Amino acid sequence: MSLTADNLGVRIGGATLLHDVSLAAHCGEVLGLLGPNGAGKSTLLSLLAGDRAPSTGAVRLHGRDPRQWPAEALARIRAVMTQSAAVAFDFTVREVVDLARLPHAGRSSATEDRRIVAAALDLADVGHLAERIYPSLSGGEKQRVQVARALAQIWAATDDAPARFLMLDEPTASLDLRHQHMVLDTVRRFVAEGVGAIVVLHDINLAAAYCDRVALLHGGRLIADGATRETLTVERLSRVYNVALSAIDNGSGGPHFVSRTLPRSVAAAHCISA
Amino acid sequence: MSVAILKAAATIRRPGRMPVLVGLGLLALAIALAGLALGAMRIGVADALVALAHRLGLVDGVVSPQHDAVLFAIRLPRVLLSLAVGAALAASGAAMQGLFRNPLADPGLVGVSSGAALAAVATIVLGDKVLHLLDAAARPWVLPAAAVGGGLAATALVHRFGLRHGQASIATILLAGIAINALCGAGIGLLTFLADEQQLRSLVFWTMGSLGATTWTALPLALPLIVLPTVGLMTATRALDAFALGEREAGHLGVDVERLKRRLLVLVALATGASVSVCGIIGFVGLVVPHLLRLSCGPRHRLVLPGAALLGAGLLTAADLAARLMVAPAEMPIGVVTALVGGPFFLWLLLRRLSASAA
Repeated sequence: MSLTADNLGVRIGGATLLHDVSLAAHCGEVLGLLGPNGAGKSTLLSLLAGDRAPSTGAVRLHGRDPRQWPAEALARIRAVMTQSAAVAFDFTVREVVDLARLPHAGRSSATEDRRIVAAALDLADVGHLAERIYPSLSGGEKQRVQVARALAQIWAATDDAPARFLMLDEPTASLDLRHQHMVLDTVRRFVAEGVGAIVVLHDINLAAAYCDRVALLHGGRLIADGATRETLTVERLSRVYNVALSAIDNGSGGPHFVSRTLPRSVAAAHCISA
Repeated sequence: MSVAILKAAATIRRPGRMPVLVGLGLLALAIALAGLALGAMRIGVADALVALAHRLGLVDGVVSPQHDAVLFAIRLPRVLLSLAVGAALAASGAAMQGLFRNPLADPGLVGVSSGAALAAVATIVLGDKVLHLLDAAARPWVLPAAAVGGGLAATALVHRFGLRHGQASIATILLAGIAINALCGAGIGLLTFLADEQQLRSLVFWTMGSLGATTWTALPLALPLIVLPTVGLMTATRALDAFALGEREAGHLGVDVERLKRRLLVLVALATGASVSVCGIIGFVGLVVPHLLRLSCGPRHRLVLPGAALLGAGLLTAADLAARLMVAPAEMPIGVVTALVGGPFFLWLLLRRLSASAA
């Protein structure tokens, strides 16, 4: 029950977007994709989702190339949230989330769909916006609606969908602090039920707090891949992001990374390693 | 967008699907009855109904042979055709707008109608030299086939230009549409220059649109060609909703995006091309009717597509009735009527949009 990538490469024109990337995502864990802008995170996610074929290598979802899956069956076991939050026409929030039930047509009753949509709306804290017009929402509200849509698509395990995957491309980019944690908490709840999550994140500290494993990308190459605590080290992150970092103890148990361009007094007072 | 901002504060209540569709169906039926009863010779709804029932063998009675002739030889085929063409144009417009994720993409604006008209006009003016080579049975098919082919070619061009990297760009679609319309206009102009006296009269009919030439002989061929693709469009309603999220996102929901695009473009080219082949270019129906439905009932295609077909059928039949009555006993080209009503309506939509974004 896993999603594996073997020696993936993507070349477009003369540019290499991804080079020889191999990794695996498993059900029941959160895999974080990290790296600076242009590292190849979204490209990797689109390959794992089956949007495009790699130039080299192969993706296997439960042993089979996702592009060979019947489109609807694939949509019942893996949901993707892209960075695009635009919706054409004046759909309401509830109507947007209801689209998630499209691949379940004929398998899930209308009552069941309504219940799932309402529950997903509440889980992403957009229940109170359900009858609002989607294009009138703020950026962060739209992003939470898209999270709700992804959740509603793979809400429950079905007979033909034993193992589900949730792929989120920067789900917290426009969210306020409370909603960042709320969304990632929700992802963890799904993972506890056996869903595999692959999440592109820019915030190292969110990744450190919520990911079981991380894959660190840089210039289209996989720099490191492993358990979060071992993989996210100050030296490695400073090198990959090209920023001087320190790890401080903020009392949460794990390291908290701060850029050293912060006032030195703050960093120095809490410094546990440099 | 404008509507979104206006309604942002209030929550939205959508009208039910079945009541709207039944209401629009009854409206189309009422307009169709008016189309039978009114005209240069006033028959009256009651007499028209009696004559209909008499023809169907439901009642015995005496029906004036004059009424009977006007109703069945002239008005009934015309009303049937205007219902079909109105439904086809409006549903095609709704499908194109959903496909391009853009409320401005109507078969007329993006060049499908003019592509079909150019092919039809070319068949009229240049076809004489080729048509006699064909079997007599095949000849009635040449004009509709050419119009459908022209519509398909224009659609393919718009598709090539408008969709880049999976995203439909409004500017590119409209610019490509302008270019295609201009090219087809030039072609039609050139053919007009070459045409003889009798062909000229047919050309005016194509470019302004008219249902005046409808006869029973054309219907058995034209009606299925117009109605079947229109019905075919109704199977894509849920997938078109998913398209509103973007092509890639629709793919994630299990929609076979490329297949759906091809299928819709072919159906639209068939419905529009077949419509143009029998009654010329009729603008604004495909643009305005889906707009009206989205404004009042929301954008869900399960309602917008069949609703547009019913409302389009009713409105085009009403426009044809107006074209017949305005300057009776002469006739206005129906394209003039729809543009007279559609133009100001479109400007009103623009104003609404401007005032909403200013607020």
